[in-house]
Amino acid sequence: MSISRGRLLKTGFAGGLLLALSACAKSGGAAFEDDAAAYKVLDASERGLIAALASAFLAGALPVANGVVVHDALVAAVRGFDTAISGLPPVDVAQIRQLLGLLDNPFVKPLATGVWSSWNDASQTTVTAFLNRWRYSPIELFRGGYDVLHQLTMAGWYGQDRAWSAIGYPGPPKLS
Amino acid sequence: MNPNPYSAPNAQHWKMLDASTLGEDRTFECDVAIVGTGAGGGTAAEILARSGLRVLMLEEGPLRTSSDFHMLEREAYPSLYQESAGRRTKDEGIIILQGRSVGGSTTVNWTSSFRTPPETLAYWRAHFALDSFTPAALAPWFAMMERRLGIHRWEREPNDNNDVLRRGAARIGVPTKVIPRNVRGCYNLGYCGLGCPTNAKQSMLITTIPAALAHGAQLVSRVRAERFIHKHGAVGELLCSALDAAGLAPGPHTVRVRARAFIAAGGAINTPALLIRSALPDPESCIGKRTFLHPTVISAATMPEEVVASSGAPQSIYSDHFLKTQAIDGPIGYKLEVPPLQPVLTASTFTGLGEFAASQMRNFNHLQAIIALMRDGFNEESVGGTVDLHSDGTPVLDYPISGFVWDGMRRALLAMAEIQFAAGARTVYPLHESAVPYGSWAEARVAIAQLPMEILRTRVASAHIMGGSAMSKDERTGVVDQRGRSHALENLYVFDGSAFPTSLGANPQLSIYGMVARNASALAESLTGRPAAPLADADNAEKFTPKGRTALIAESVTPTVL
Repeated sequence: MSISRGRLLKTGFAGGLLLALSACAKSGGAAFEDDAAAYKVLDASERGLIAALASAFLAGALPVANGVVVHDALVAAVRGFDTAISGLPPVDVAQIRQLLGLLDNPFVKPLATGVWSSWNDASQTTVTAFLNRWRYSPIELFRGGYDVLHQLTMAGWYGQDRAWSAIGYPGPPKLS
Repeated sequence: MNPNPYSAPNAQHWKMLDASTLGEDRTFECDVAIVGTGAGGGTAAEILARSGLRVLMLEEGPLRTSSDFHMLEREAYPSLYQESAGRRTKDEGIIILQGRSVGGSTTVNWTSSFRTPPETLAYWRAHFALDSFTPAALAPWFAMMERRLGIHRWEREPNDNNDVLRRGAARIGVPTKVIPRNVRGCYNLGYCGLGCPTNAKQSMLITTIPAALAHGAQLVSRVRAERFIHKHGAVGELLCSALDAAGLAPGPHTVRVRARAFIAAGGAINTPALLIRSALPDPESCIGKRTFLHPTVISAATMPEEVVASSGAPQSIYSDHFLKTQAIDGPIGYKLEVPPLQPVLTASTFTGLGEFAASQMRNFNHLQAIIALMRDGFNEESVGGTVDLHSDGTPVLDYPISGFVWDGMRRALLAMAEIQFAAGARTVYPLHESAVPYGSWAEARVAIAQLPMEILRTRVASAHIMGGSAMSKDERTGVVDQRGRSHALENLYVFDGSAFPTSLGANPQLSIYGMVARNASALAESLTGRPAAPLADADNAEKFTPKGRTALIAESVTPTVL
């Protein structure tokens, strides 16, 4: 992650420090790249966030080749999430984007999630730990946030034909 | 395969409009305007149109027919369900499945058709003075709708998912029965929840609504009823928004409707929200209160044999045993049924993530599930939820789950696990964030007894939304009278599941059909001065008349004491 001076000024000193720290903590992960035109709702940083979450939610479900998740499949999962929210009424979309905004807010994120690195750089173990932290949180708001992300991620992946062979679902019956 | 009525040659003459295509504001005039085209609105539309009244049906969702039904969850949930099948209660804790297309929830329900249980009616008579709600008085209306919609006990073998409930329950001495379904020529596919592709399901979409259209009724889809404009104790006009091209938000144009009578039939949650936006006189703040859900918990099992719960009539076996083991107003009782398991519904409802969730899904064809539907609303510790509005006027339901209801949910998780193990389950997994698949009934019994029963830890869902504009004889305890007529405005009626004063203890569609058939017939008679037209039996057009209909109408049009 490169930190421009403009961004430092924009996010303020503390935020800039966090950005710098997260840049230092960079572990070699690549940013999630996909064609922006394929998305109805998610912006670039939200896509990176969802890619990180989907890698954890769908670990064991997304196909793996040579020890890494097949990139096409991860792209399909992120696009599936976007499709899942694009059919929601405006008030729901606003709430979900607010949640995503919180998860990407450099001031709030470390405390709320326990994740200090950028989402692109966070390991699957780190993201899973965060998701479980929210899943079992004594704070209802966090459990709710977890469950909404869970539902949308699962729906976004398992709605696609490519998810079905791994579970033995043949798809809908053919009607002649 | 049954024909798609919307593709028939005579459908070219039907008056149908997709309001999202409007290029200008519009005003409609009619005798009766009906908001919503589900079980209530559809039934009312056919009766009123056959009785010679000019009917206008308004539907917020799109018109989708069997030509659009491809048995794909990714298509069906966004186009046929409220909030893409992701509607939730205010604290996110309960997932609500509710229809949102022409035909309402009847387009996507699982076809289970039960008359209102007699003990529920007895409770209504005792607590809400609904003296016309006797099994005998309603019987001819239920019979008429059963014939109209082909409702009969499912005659084929249950699929294996249902059979686990039947077998397991029998082994522990819990009786089960076969479910009556509203189908004709069913292909036994299992995709009722995604819109019936063969037009076997006798939903409002392919029965009453086409019949109403054939009798001159008009259908406007993708239009949202915003509020009734009323003065001097009557509604003068209904103000609506034509939705935008995506059908999700109001577009630039308004639709105004003038009518002699207005029927709210948008279903529980949406009907009370419309009444709240309309600022109806409501001195005792009854509107939106006492909304019930049959809040439902789920027990998943892995069976040694293949179950393939994605396939075959989704619901064919049920048990009311645990509704009857205690008094109706005692500890909460529950009905047992099973859900269909298609990939999205399964993966998003099952708890857990990562390798654990993936391993559950790899078991997909061996998965079996039982659901327990809590009969809420019959005890002072089960007062249901309250409809509230977001800042944009759209509704949200606040439904806190009381300790009284959680107690029933824990008992239900225990009973379902016992049944699944009795049927030979390899493991049983109560859908709860702190649960794991248990290998024996002994292990499950100890573990379930200790699960923290809390919101967003226990998976809770609902497909039966009832109440919020309740019937009552006394205007201080309800919103409408026994005929469904508003206590506040003389030409406003509520003809949907929101009129129920409690939950039902049974899947709601037939209760709505029967109640609305009677109330819409009374309304037709009051508007025309003639007896209402009976609904034709599909095989026996125009010949069917329910016994004692005239007497019943006379009873139900007698003005109730306010």
